[in-house]
Amino acid sequence: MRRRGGGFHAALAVTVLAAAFLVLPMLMVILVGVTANWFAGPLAGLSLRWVLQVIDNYGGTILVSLQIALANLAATLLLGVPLAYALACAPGRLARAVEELIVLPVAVPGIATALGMVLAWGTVGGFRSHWSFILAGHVVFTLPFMVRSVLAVLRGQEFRLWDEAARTLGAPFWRRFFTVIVPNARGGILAGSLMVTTLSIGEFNMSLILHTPFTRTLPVGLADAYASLRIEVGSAYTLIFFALIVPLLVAMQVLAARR
Amino acid sequence: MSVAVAIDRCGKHFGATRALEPTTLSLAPGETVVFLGPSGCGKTTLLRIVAGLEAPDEGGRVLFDGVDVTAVPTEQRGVGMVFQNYALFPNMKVAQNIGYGLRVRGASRMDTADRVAEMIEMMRITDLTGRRVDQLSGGQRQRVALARAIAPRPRVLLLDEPLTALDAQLREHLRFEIDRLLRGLRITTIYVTHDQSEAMALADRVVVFAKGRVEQVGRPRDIYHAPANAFVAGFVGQMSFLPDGTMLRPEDIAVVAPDVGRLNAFVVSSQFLGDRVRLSVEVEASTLFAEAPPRETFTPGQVVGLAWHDEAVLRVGSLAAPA
Amino acid sequence: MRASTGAALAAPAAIVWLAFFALPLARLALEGGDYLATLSQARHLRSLALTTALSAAVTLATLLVAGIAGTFLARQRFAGRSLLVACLTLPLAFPGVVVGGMVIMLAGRQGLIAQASDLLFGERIVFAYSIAGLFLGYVYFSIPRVVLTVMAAAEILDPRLEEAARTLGASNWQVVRDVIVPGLTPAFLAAGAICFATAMGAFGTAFTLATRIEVLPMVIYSEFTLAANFSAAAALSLLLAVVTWAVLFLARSRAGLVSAAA
Repeated sequence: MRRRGGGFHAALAVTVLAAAFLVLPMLMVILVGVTANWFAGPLAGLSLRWVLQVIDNYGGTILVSLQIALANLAATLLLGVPLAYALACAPGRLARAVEELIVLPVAVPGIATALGMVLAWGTVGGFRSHWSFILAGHVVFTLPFMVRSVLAVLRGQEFRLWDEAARTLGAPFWRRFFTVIVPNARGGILAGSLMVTTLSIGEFNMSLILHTPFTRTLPVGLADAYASLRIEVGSAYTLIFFALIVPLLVAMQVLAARR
Repeated sequence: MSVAVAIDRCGKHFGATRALEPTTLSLAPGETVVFLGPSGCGKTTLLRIVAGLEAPDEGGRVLFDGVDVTAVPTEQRGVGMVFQNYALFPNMKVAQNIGYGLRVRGASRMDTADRVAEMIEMMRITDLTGRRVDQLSGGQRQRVALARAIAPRPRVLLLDEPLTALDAQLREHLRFEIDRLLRGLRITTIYVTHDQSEAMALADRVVVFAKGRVEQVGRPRDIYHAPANAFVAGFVGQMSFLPDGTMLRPEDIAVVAPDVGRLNAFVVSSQFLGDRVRLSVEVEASTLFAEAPPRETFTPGQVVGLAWHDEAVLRVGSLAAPA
Repeated sequence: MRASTGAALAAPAAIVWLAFFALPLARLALEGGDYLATLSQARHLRSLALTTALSAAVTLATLLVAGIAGTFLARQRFAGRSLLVACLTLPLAFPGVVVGGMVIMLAGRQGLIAQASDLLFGERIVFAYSIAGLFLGYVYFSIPRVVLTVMAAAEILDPRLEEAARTLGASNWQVVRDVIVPGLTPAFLAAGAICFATAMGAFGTAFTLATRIEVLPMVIYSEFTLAANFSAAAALSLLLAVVTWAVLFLARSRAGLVSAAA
């Protein structure tokens, strides 16, 4: 469409305003996080003291989040990729029913799942106070994203034919899986990996209820900082969060654009 | 290396649909048998049963050299298969695709490389070795698919409509190549197609399928000149019916001057096909096809004579009026 | 693939799902106790009404803004387009906590709006901790998702339908009304349902803004941690879960498997 009437400019205005609405606060957060004293304003001086203070006070949360995110990635890959393959080969109705079940943890609010986890497993002392308690919640929540991402790629291709061809050439199951199926599902696996990692690092609803003082994640610490401390601290903390997450989000966008 | 294939009462249901009636066939070692028929007739189903990609219904068996392989999974049967859309692995280059069947069976890198080179030479795709699959044309992919299937020296070669995805000219050219290849290799081969000229050109024997049943098995000439029924007759070539019920192939009806042949007929229309002229002529209220040399011309309403040899008359097993 | 192979491949995921999702939910349902009593408490009913109204308002606002932006970006090409797309979709997976922070940046005591209004009117306008702030936050995290969904749908609209309308004499506005909007309605419905369900279950934003506004997730949280009223918390969680699931199920069944994020 090449027409550039009033409609174009009105829509452009809405779009630009919306984009500004989303981006300006982000830029502000970054600015505030490195301002020595926000009351005095950024021109009075920049400083990394808040960032350092966050690392000092909340460094543990960053490590916990990263640890959980990595473990979550490993878990969703191991659980999700084979499952996606099984679903891609399964008859339509069965596959759809299983997909509905897999997606349930996304449809159900995180607090509900977390409450249930505490009720069901909270009495198992060692588990309750270990970071794997939070990991369990994350895995159950992010698994559908990995499965869907890989499934979308598998469904769009002739991989069933390649599987048959590999069978006629003598390859047993795991050989086929690793030499033919997985390499061709690369795009979906990568996109899924970025997604689950991003979701895990940012997960709050479940983590708030599942955590203990020793297993606090970044978002939980962040909420604490916003509630109790100066705006510069919360901002610096968010800045660190951005540093972790924005590269992942950008990678996802680049990947999506290339496909 | 090549084996005799015996198909014993293999049929197949998919849910409530019967795709294939229980069928019994035997193939001699080194023979090329073509499964011919329209789409949905069961020919591909039977091919896949021989490959092990489908299991036959209860009571069906597949035997290689007398050994029952029905329960043997595909990956252990030693069959080579070329799929309709080639199913080349996009994550591997040409050489790796061709060598896959050898690598998977534990062949050394050197042996694999030697055999791959041999295949590349045989298929005449030397300049394609390092290419990715998406850089190949249809004809090139087909050759790579063949090379890949043959490289591990399979006992049986199965081809599922390998030329269907190509354009007409390429098809004809590759048909010759495949024929030469199959004659040279002498592997027991099953070739599935809906194209009757491919079947005639490549087969030692043809099996004609319709709606899940075998209609006729025989050498190409026998099928063409002595079809078992009207379906086979019509599928394998054009037919012309004379008013008294005699059936002939249009190319066997010569067009001559009026009163010189056995019958006279009116020309209804004529089509110049390049290598011949196809005439639609009317004889006593029935219309039939005849053919004439390409340099002749005809006008509608013109009277011509029709002549044919007695040996050209089609002897059909059971005569039924054409649909 | 044989059924046994498929089952074996799915088994590990199934075990995890059963242990850490199905079992907890079942346990939650059991803990619910007297559902009717919980659901008829005034505080809870008010919260449900408030949350539903807020989510509906957020959905409408987001559909309007993101609908315009998404359609516009999908169909026009101009310098700076990719930048706008990136800006609108970057905050896609931001947690509610961070969004709460964004709201504070915009509408808090030291926020952009407060400083601007201070300069212009001599008075700071602060609304981050009111329902308006919450609304703003919810719209913030809803826009990226809806923009992506609408863009994807607009990209597969058949341009020939528009061309046909043009040849029949339709003006730009009429084409939008008669061809584009109907063509995008399924995507709008799906995106709207996802937006609504997400807003209903949103927690981090309200928590961070430390508001006294009683959206349902906050009520659940306070029942659980402050009042130790497990059965009420469980009952309300289950209610919320059923509502959000139902809304998403309807959306999915109408529009195929629409991705809830990206």
